[in-house]
Amino acid sequence: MQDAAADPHELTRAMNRAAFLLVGGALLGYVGAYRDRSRQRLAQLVAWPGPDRTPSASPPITSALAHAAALLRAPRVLVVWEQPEEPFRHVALFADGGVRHAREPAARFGSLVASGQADRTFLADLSIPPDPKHETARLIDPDLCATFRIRKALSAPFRRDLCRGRIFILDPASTSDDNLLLVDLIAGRLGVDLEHYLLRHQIETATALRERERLGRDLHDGLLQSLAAASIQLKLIAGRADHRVRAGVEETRALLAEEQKRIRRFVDDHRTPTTFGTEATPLEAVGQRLQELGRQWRCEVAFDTAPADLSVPPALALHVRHLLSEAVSNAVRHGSASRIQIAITRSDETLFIRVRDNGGGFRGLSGLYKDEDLKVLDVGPNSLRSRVLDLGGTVRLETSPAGALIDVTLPL
Amino acid sequence: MTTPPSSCRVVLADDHPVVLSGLESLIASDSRCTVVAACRDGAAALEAIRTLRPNLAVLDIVMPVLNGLEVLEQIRATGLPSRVVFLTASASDEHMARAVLLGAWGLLLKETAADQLLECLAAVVNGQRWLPPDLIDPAVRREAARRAEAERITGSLTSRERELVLLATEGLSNKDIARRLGVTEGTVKIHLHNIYQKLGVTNRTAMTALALPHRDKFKP
Repeated sequence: MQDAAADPHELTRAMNRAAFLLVGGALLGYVGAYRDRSRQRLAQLVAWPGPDRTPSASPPITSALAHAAALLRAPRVLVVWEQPEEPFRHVALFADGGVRHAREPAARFGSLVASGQADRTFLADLSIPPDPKHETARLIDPDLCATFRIRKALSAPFRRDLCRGRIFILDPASTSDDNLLLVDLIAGRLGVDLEHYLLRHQIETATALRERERLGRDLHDGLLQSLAAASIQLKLIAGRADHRVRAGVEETRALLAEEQKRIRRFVDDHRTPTTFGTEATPLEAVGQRLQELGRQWRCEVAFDTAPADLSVPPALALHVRHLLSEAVSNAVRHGSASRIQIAITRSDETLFIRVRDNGGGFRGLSGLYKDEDLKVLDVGPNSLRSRVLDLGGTVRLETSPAGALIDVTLPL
Repeated sequence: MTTPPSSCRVVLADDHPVVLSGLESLIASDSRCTVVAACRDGAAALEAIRTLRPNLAVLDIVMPVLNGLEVLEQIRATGLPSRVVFLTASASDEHMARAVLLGAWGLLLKETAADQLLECLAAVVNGQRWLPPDLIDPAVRREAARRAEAERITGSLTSRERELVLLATEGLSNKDIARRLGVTEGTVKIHLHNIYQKLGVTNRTAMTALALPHRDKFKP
């Protein structure tokens, strides 16, 4: 038998085999790890959160953008999208756990990306100086880059019947080809989410309009007429009745008259708007309504606006009236308040409403509750808060056994 | 309180039977008034007014076939002597302003009918109009301001913008509007953006809802 050490070829072969085994093992390990990572990321992608569950005036895409950011390990995600029939571009920027929404004119940010790239998914690295000779030297619109300080971005388009746009994953940790595929898939999902939101919004608007008309018609044609007839009949009965019965009938008639007024006002307020929205409406009428409410609830209502001739858009004036009616009714019914102070001020973009009462506060609550607290704990003036939320505003509550203070902010 | 003459003859019209019957009883409770006809729609009321020539016609504003305002127009057009009092559950500013403009003698909300109708009829028969200032004045003022605002705003639109609003109210998409006007979709969007700002609206639905009742003002 020949000694292996004596055969240098045998030694080389052995070393080669060992090296092959080592490389093969490393490759298998890499492929396995790659497969695990891919599987994990696909599982993450499949666990797409869909639209936000909490109601908001803005498109419900916060969870989706947070998910995309986590999946691609990026600190910021930008989405720019538009509806074919509207002259705006919607912009949503996810950063630091929240989303900032804005609306820009349709022409802002040009075509978003260079011509020829509109339907493509790509990586743009602005840290590399562009080659001016190259057709796609400027991949992303310069205004968009400057506005959102874009240095490096993975970007993919989405196009649906009701909306089209692009997602930009800003400063991603990795820019591999796999990530390009992921961005493409994410853009598709986001497009579906936005389209569902728009469809839902359209259906809700149409339903609300139909319901409003139906409700107004039903009240006008049904309840108001019946109340009018009942009031007339009671008047006739009172005329034939003795003194004692007459007093009771007249009291009932007065109650009916109050209800008639209230319902008529509701019908008037809910007519389909046919007026132009730029005419400012003074809040003076709200003060008159509050005096009526004070009489109705047997409490003192002080109303103050700064400036005294404070005006708001007509639709908002209507909402303010409803909000305050609700606040007064809450203060008396639940807090047994006898005095309510209401103050309204405004800045260029916001209306501030403060309602303070001397009642017993909100049962079971004490201290300061911000909008988020009220939402999470599901406490406080729920129906008032829901109305404010529909208008894109916030509510802050401070309550104690000595009374409640509600601060409402509404965007103008 | 004024006293109605004994010959006060009234034609009543309301499409709500329960109200009609109540009003008939209420008017009949005053021996000086006679309800000569109680009608369920505007056309029947006009026919009764033509044939029976009452002193007064008490009409609801919203009625089938002919509404109360159209009945009043016909009365005026044909020179009938009957004085018209409108009795309504709720009326828009536009309806109230138009009623005054057409020469209504009285306007009353149904919620006050039980207390005020007989007094109102007496006043009207005696030649006094019953147009409560707290009801009519704010409505007429609001309607006038609204019309002025509508004029001002439609006047602020260019003829191309007005044309575009009209096409949008017909339900055309931006693509179709662009084709119709021979411009690009981008140009249509720029026009729309300007129109939204001038009209104070934020979307196409609101723009269409505002423009539809004023379509005439948008025509070239």
